[in-house]
Amino acid sequence: MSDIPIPISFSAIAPEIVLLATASVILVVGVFLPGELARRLSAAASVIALGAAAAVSATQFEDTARYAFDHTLRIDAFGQGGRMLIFVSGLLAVCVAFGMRDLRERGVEYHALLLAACAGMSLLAVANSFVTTFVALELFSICLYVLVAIETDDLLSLEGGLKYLIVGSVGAAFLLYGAALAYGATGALEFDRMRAALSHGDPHGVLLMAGIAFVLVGLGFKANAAPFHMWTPDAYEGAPTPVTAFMSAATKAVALVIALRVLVTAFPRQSDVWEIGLAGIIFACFIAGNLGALRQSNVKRLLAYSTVAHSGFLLTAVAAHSALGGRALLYYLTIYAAMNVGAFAIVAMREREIGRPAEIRDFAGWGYRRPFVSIAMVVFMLSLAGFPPTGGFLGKLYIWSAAVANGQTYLAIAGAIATVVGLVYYLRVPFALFDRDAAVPAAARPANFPLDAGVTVVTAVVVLGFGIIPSPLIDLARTASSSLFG
Amino acid sequence: MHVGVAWFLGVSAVLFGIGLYGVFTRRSPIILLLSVEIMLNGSNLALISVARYWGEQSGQVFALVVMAVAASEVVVGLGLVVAMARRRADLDVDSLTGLRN
Repeated sequence: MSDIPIPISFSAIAPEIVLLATASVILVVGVFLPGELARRLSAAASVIALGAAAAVSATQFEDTARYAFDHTLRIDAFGQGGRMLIFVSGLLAVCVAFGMRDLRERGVEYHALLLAACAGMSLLAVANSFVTTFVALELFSICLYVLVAIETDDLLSLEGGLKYLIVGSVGAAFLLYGAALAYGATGALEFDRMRAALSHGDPHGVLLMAGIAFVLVGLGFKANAAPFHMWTPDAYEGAPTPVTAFMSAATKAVALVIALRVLVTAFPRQSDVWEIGLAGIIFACFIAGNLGALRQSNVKRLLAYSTVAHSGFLLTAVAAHSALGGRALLYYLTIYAAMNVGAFAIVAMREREIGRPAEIRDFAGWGYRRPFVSIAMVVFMLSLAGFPPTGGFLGKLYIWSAAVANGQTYLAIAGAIATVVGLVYYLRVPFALFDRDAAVPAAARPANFPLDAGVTVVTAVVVLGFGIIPSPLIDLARTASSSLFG
Repeated sequence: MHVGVAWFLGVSAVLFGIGLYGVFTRRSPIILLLSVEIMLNGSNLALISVARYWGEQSGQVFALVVMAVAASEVVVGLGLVVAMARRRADLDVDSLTGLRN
């Protein structure tokens, strides 16, 4: 009785411990402090906790992979890369939110929920079992439902939160049912043990195929992939803009990281089937994302449909299921997170100036009053559209070369067509910013947002810098990707 | 009499389908939350029956975990519904059209 080995590894979940402990402390201490002080302290504590978590992940960014907690976690460079991306996105979301007047009353809750969401995502990035996957997914999802609806005085925020909750729960139920069916086919819930159970015998059992399909649908909901994207524009528009920035960067990253991990770890022999399923989802993303974005006048909704279209690009890298695809995925996810957080930070700045949701026409002539921020916005839009020399261009190129190397040229061609269509709506924003005919908007009351401007500068440097000198990021992505495929 | 695992999986699929049908057809957010619960419980039944079939415990533990998670999800959902009800009386997702193009 006394010698049952308990495989506990605190170092494996060190980032989650740091984040959840900080979140708990913030919530308790925040009660006893006056509002403004509590908000500032909780912001500082969040930055420190996220920085510490990112540092811990960075020190564990190694070639060697190890299992923890009896194969429910797989600590490898791929997961650590995903974690660092999440933590940095969270850090930027804290900075973007710092000046938001609307969030001031709920600063403590905002930071605590953000930290808990980061912890859930971080766990999901290294999950190696369907139990951990489901729990981690729900941990971050429930936090995000509340974060979207955090402005409880605002009916739109509540509406977005409720819609996100219902659709997100349906997605989680699909994932769970898929996990149960795959468990039925294999007798295991851990990804590597599933693969071992499937290594012989018929690789295409009915139960297993249904299970994989349900898992794909469930992850598609979280990755806002079409046709499961209908919640995206509403949740993105209803949510406070810093939350939207965080969701678009971190949720997407972690959903794709876990999708690639599940598919290549548990179901490598079934790749012929799920490649076809992914191709269908990818086409749907391109069509729904582009058609939706073309009709939008609200910038947040435009960017929401843009994330749907981008799910198509990112899933192309997953469908390639090769070390090259994994490398392209991590490279593009980093660039993608940077350009989305940057763009939403700028939308937040403009919203604060005009005091209502920003339409594209609200940006008309803005480039002449705030030239530096506007140039950053142009960089983000060009990168989203895929112009050289930005990271968005190189990322798409890497993904397409991975697709072609895997014999999926049709996905690369579909992506190229989607990119051309994307020019139509992405370029509307730069044209509006530097519209010569528009009246230059009057200077707003408090025109100074140092933290926001810092975020846009940092993200613009990432987008441009890694577009011109991609090798440092590519080397990191190579290490991470080979730890999954190696 | 022996009842095979396929029957249990069949019932779980029916439950999941009922829940999914409810999500697509019902309009009240509370009924929608209920439908999602039915979907999750369908999945739970599948997990438990499969765990029994393989003579394994992890599926049973998973089902317990799912119950806890589902409960916390409903708490948040009902919280949002209450917050909305305070702002406006009617609860019908078809009238939630503030967020539309």
